[in-house]
Amino acid sequence: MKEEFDLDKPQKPMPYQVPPGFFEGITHATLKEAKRREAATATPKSAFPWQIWAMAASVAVLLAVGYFLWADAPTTRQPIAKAGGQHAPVARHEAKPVLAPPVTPKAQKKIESKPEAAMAQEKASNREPRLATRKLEAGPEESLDNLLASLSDEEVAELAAIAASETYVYEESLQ
Amino acid sequence: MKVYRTLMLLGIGLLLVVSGQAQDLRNNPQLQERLTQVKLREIQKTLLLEEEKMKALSPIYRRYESEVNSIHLARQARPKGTSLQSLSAEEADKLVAQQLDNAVKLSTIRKNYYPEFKTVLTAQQVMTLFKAEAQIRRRVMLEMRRRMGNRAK
Amino acid sequence: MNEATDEQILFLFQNPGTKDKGFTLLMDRYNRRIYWHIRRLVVAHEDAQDLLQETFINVYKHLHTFNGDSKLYTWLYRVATNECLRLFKERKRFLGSFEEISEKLVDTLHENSTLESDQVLVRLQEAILRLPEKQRLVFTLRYYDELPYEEISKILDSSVSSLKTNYHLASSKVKAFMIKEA
Repeated sequence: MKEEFDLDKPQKPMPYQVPPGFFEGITHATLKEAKRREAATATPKSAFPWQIWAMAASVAVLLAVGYFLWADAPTTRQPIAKAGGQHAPVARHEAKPVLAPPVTPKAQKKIESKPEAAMAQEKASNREPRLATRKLEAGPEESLDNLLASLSDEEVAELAAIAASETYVYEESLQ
Repeated sequence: MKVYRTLMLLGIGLLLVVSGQAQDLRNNPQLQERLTQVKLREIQKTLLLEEEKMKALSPIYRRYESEVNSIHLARQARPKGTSLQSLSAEEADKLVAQQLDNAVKLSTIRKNYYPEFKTVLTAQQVMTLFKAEAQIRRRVMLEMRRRMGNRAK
Repeated sequence: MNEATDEQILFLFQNPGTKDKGFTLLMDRYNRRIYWHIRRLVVAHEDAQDLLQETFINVYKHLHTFNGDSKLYTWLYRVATNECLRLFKERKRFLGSFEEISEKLVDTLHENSTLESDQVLVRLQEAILRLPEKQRLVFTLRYYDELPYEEISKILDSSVSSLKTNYHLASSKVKAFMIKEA
């Protein structure tokens, strides 16, 4: 005969199991994690939005200023270069105490004829690897928590979507 | 005044470009590299591997990771904000087929790399490596949950 | 040794020198109760473990804001319930609907139950997991945790009369499911 179901019986056990020793260890682990997060969030996380924005704005301003200085340069440099060409002998005499390396007429011509776009590209190609190296150098010291803390919500969402897609197809097979 | 306006526009433009790139892992190889490095550190910590072993494991893991990433990044995710119900039968069918296909591809990659991992690690360590990866995924999801919680507060 | 009271725990927690001791006493006192509340809602031990930790980490961060309007355990239940609801919300993004989450939870229930598990208990859990979210919450808090409606009302931000209706509906559905599946 089937056992009769009684919702009002006093004992309400659960059909689940808990790993042995779980409750003994969880308090210590939680306290440790809470303190770690508190330490991690004490300065950088609470200041996260404005610091990032301030940094991004500074970089933007620096780049913009750099761009304008650089963009201005050919227009001011060009007449000088041309003038240099016209008064070459004088310039050579006067150039003696100048610390900059001497520019050969061929190279001078190359500089003058170099289109702005090509120079910009050269500038960019000089800049990018340096940025990449800096990031890679910072990498080995980075922990998962620090990395996650530095990501935008969208980036975390993207990683979480990937993680979730694997959870359902793969993780269960490891249990 | 004009210079100010130009500066501001340039700054905003730059920020938009930067934030636009940050939203897509595919266009962010630097982030991918940071992730790989973090994963390698977590694996080293979990498996208690010495530097020498790490040197041997690192190139194999990087190749493996890049193959796994190629599957993930090529994945056609369900558009943001759409529920399963809002998909047409055809779209859902395509999505399911792709998910199943990806599951097979990911398993195949792991299966193919298993003998290579075993040249550096024991079978038990390979298993722990896969578990460490699963743990990283869990922590990513927890971070997501935490942020959603903060947004809701 | 006598168990510390909530007042003693709060006093220890508010003092920076004894904060950790207060937290440890708080967790030792309530972690089982809160774990089971979470586990009943999320089913898998791994999820319950994560959420239990998140709950108490939140408590560690925000306990100083607890103003004593309600009982301490009511506040803990509220934080834990919010964590569970957040998990469901997150899963909803991937699974699409509440029904699919329920299905997934029922699957997890069957995966977690062993041959030795009492099948009546497994069926009862299935019946509860198939309830709508609000009814499931009210039912578990009332039936298993035996909390008064007034306390549940503070946890779920709902009126006592609405909770009574939901509990009544939930009980009828659970009984009907158990009779059908018997």
